[in-house]
Amino acid sequence: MAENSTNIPFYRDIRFLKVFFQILFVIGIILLAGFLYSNMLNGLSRQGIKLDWAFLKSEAGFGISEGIDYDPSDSYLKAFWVGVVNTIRVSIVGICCATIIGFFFGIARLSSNWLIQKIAAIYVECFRNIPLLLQILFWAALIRSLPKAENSIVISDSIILNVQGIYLPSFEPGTGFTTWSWYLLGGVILAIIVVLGFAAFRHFGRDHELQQIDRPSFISHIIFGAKWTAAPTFLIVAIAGWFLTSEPPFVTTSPVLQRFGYVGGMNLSPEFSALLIGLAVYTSAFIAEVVRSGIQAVVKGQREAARAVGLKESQVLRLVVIPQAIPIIVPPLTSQFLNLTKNSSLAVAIGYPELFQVGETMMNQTGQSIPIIGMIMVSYLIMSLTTSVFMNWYNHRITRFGQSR
Amino acid sequence: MTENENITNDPIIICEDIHKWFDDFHVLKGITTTFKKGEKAVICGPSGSGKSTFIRTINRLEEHQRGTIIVDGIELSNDLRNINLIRQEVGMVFQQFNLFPHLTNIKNITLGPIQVRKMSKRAAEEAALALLERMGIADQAYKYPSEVSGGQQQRVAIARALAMEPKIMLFDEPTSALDPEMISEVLDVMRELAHSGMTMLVVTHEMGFAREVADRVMFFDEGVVVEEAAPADFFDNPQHDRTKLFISQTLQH
Amino acid sequence: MDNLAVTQEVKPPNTKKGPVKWLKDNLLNTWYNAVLTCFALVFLFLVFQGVFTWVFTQAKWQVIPAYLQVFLTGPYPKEQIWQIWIVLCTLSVLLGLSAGIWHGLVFKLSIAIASIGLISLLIPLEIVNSIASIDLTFLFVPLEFVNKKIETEPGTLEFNLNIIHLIFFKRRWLLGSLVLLVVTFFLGRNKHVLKQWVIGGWILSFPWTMIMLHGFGENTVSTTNWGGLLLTLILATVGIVACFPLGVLLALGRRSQLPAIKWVSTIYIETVRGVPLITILFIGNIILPIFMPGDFQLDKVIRAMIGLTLFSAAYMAENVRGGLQAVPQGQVEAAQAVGLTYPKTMLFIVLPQALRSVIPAIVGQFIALFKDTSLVYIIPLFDLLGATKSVLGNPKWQGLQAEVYLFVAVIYFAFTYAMSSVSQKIEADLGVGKH
Ligand SMILES: Nc1ncnc2c1ncn2[C@@H]1O[C@H](COP(=O)(O)OP(=O)(O)O)[C@@H](O)[C@H]1O
Ligand SMILES: [Mg+2]
Repeated sequence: MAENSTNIPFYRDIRFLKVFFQILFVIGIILLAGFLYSNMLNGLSRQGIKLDWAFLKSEAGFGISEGIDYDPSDSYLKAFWVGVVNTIRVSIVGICCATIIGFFFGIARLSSNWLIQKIAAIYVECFRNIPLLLQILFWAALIRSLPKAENSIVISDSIILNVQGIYLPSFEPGTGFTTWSWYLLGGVILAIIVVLGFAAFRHFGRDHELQQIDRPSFISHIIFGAKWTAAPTFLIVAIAGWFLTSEPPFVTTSPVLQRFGYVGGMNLSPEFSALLIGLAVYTSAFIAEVVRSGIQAVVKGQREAARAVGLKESQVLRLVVIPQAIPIIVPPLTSQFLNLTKNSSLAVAIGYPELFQVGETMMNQTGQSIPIIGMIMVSYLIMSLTTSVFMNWYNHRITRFGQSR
Repeated sequence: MTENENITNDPIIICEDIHKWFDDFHVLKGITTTFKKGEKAVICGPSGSGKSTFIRTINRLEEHQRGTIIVDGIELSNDLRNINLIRQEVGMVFQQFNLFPHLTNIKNITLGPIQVRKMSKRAAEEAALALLERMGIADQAYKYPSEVSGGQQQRVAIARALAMEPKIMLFDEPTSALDPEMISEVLDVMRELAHSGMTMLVVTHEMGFAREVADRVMFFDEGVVVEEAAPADFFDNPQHDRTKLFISQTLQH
Repeated sequence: MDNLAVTQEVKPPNTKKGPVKWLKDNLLNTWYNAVLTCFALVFLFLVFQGVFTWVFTQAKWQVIPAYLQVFLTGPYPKEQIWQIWIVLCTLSVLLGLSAGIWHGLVFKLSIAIASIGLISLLIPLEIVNSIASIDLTFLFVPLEFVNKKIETEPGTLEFNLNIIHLIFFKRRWLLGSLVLLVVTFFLGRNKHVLKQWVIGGWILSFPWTMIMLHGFGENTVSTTNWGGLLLTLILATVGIVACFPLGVLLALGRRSQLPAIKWVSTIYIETVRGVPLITILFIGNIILPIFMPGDFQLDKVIRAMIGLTLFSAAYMAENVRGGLQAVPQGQVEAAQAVGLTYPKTMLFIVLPQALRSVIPAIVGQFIALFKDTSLVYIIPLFDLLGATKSVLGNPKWQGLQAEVYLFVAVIYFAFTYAMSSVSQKIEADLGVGKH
């Protein structure tokens, strides 16, 4: 090989060709990038825009209707950050709602009750087959057509619907909150002591010889203990603290009608409400499908085997089906969460000031479309990346679990 | 055991000190051997000993990392042309058949001749039908692989390899995935092929076939050729303990 | 003989069938199911009551027929509509031939399409119009209906003439397409040799559609005048067809052994999948013009198409990659052993198998894309959803959001639901372990 391989003409040598094709490819990419870059410079000079990041520090000068503390005199960077936080806010609330509704309808689709099954099926088919944007526009229009504050629709004295959005009673720390948080802190410390002691006992204590071959690690004892000792300890302390605190740790305040509408409680703006309802309903239809197919994917043989062992129907579900369905459900569920987060960008159509909407306003004001689109993309990519890191970690765990099955 | 009448003295495959690693795992630890034109060699040995890896280096399905392989005067190196030439000279039959499920049996056979040998469609089909006839399955030509039995699939696979008119045929456990009653139909075809003078390297545990057809039996263990001998010597008078153990275990079954 | 007698006598134990049994099994099998059923019934009653009263007594549906054309074709000029009809006729011919040749699913599909066509052929729009200008309460109160003055009463000569006029003159194109569909179906049934031509025709139909819709010379309809359902369908089709080659290349690239190609493909795919479609559309709409050389500019619809294509290519790549992974390594090895080169191995062995296994996923992607095209509303373009803007923008129809959005939702739903049923059929047809 040694003597002969030097004689291979380069254009037939695999090693050369591999490198060659890659270099060719990279050159192609660089050329394309260069071409686009020079076009960009021309294009920008034609539009009279200079590309830089300095604009981020200058005064934004536009208002943002809701979100964390912000003033039009704050910088563009701050405005963008408000958008990011709003995206995260609507996404987290949306994910919670969508998951609850989705699991409800997913399980309903497997109900033995024909009527329930069909209602769930209709729900799923309707809401996942209609474009989300249309749904959001519809909800926004619906909320806009709600009555004025004086004639609000009041549901069970605490939920109020009117053209200014949705009002809910809020749940705020009361006078006793500080006292109670000390109890909580104590609970945490106690729980840590308990779990460490428990793990040490298990690890160094009994069955020393028996476990020598396959001895569980200290960490695994801690994980086991966290569930069975630490969590109960903490809960007991927290509940005891609740009753021992003389002042109420939390107070609920209901919205009250005043001259310019309702005050107090928690107000979800019309835009936020429409977006939230749209995202939650749309995504829940997909989650319902994920849940249904996850449960159905657990092979029939498993259920039959479980019944053959003598488990009751409820036990079959709890001990055999669900533990196997969860690992199947989680990956597509996560990607639904991610979809919801990305879909929150549709808020731009109804004016909820999330990441994309704020970004668009900034683009209109500064003309710095390239850096801003870059910032928007990076923000979403960070969220996606975080999720996929979690997914990889989770899949890794699942595969181990899968092998030990 | 009759000496093969077709065997010549011209070497057709020359292997010199072949080494192969999968990452850090040393699979082939210096294989040196020569196969003569028309020779039939049976390769056996325990599972994981590197038999498949060895014969797959001969048509570059695996790359060897040290040593020289010369097939029919062409050295197997990083030269793209040589690799393509050698693949045309060397046919291969796999344990799992590896027929193309989306093509009919006859298309499976004509694909290589048409695409690689640039044969006309018509000529390729005639040749393919003749081959299928020889394999005894002419009536299965226009079915899909999934519609015929395992033994028939493996014979289609042999026909596919033969259609390229190779000088050498590699068989990697061609009967291991077959039901017992189908093994003999495949072995019959291979026997017939052997008598026609083809050079054959066969990885198999069919000891009867080895005794009857082989000119030489090679015993692999842990990436080295522990013993090689004519079948009569190999089976009746093995030299190494590992060989003895292997033979006694295989014959028990 | 004895045995025979016995077999005749022994019947299965009493297994009741029928509605009562069904009710017992499916709705009332346990006490909590019975309770659930009651709740569900009450819930359904309330929902249906609400919906029905709104749909039939409160909603003002007149807006729909008044703007039907806007919903269907947007600002496409009236005088040029025949160009759309030519496209539809072409597609009818191809569909008819395909139905004749392949039967099965295509046949069912064309039956469905033909019946929709037939229904729309026979619906007298003028009557719908006049009905719409009354209101739909007549459905509940026939007496009122009689009292209303209706220009053409069924049975009169005038009515019949109107129908004939309607079908053979005003709707001659629709009639023509339907006739073509049926005629070509019978043609296709007898001539199986047409197969390759029909496949070629389908491939050519795509550029042909674009050319016909765009027209030439004095018949040019610039893409900015495409709209409504037409635009939605075109965007979705372009998105899926144009992204296909790019998606396949990206998928192969991501599985390549050459690190440079692998990394570039992976980064592209993950970046695009990691951001919302609207950012990609914005890139197409706002950033792309900056990157165009000199005075060369693309119009808005083309830019949206580019955005959708770039977007769906990443998803297509992942679908195809799934298919590639499902092709066993032995297939590649066998192809190499026969001497096929890398491109030929991919082209003849790997891709055909990979693509066949991802057809359902691709149909799924098409459905998603069909819905996603609605995002061009934001750019803005006047697709099916965008059309609502121009309708609701008219002060005459203010406050009719619910009606308009619902109508549009029904159209979207009809398409996506039909497509997903088709894809389920395809999945079943492809079956498991089939060649
Ligand atoms: N692609 C591969 N990557 C890593 N290890 C491999 C690969 N292919 C084979 N091996 C390892 O190389 C050894 C020899 O394999 P093989 O040649 O298939 O053995 P045999 O065919 O004799 O049973 C085995 O231990 C196997 O695990
Ligand atoms: Mg092997």
